[in-house]
Amino acid sequence: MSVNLGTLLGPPTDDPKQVQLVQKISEKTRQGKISWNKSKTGVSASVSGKMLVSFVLSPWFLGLGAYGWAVFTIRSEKGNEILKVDNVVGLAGLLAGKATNAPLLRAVNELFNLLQESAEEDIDRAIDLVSRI
Amino acid sequence: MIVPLLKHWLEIVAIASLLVGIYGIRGMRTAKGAARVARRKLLHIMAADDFDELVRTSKILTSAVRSGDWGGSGELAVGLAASLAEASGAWRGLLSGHEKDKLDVASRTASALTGTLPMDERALEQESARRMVEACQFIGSVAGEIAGRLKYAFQSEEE
Repeated sequence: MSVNLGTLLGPPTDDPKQVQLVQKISEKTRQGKISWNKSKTGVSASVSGKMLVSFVLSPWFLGLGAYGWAVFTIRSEKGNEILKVDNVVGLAGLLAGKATNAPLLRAVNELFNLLQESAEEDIDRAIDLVSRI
Repeated sequence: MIVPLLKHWLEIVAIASLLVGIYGIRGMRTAKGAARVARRKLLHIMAADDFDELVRTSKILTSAVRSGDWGGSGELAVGLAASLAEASGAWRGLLSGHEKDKLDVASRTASALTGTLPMDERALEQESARRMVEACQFIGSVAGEIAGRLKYAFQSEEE
């Protein structure tokens, strides 16, 4: 007998406005209107000096394996938390009711993938630039 | 000339007293401000020292994991998890939101590490050992970044 975990957990309860906010940040990042700063342990960006958006990277977290993100946060200029998403994966995450296909988690994952892709594009551009010398 | 001055002696004394009072309050405020800055600088350097210590411990832990000393690694990882939690609580007021998030993740990583270290002296697969070393380095990097920022704050804060 197979059990559908999605049915057990019920429908995702993410706030559509939170999802919309993350998608807007992705859109503006794609347009090059938000520039991100990277460090060894995180990626962050200031949105018009009014908001700070950040990822904390995780090298190895609850069996995630590949280099991913652990926490995504959006804060106001005064440091108040607007949105915080924990990348809870695996059985612990499922038991906590965090379906990995939840819209908010999916939107944040898309933003993170976008940042990784743009980093790869930066390298491609650099190779192209050096090749033209 | 002197008569009008004598007539208004009370006003003159009042204005002079007021000026002396204003200068006195300004002096007190300056002294209080200087004491506040000195206290903040002291807190910054104390916090930076604490985070430097965490960097050192994570380096020792990395070496212990590399050499397969699981007994020593276990003890160090437990100590590191506790120290990270302590630093997070002690210096919360000096940390930015992003730094607090990083510290929480570093603390969780150290706790996860304590749960996965082998209990006996068996050799681990190379991939597992590599991930553990990465986790130790991540914790060290988080502590190092925060220590660096605190040292900068200590140096750049004006007296």
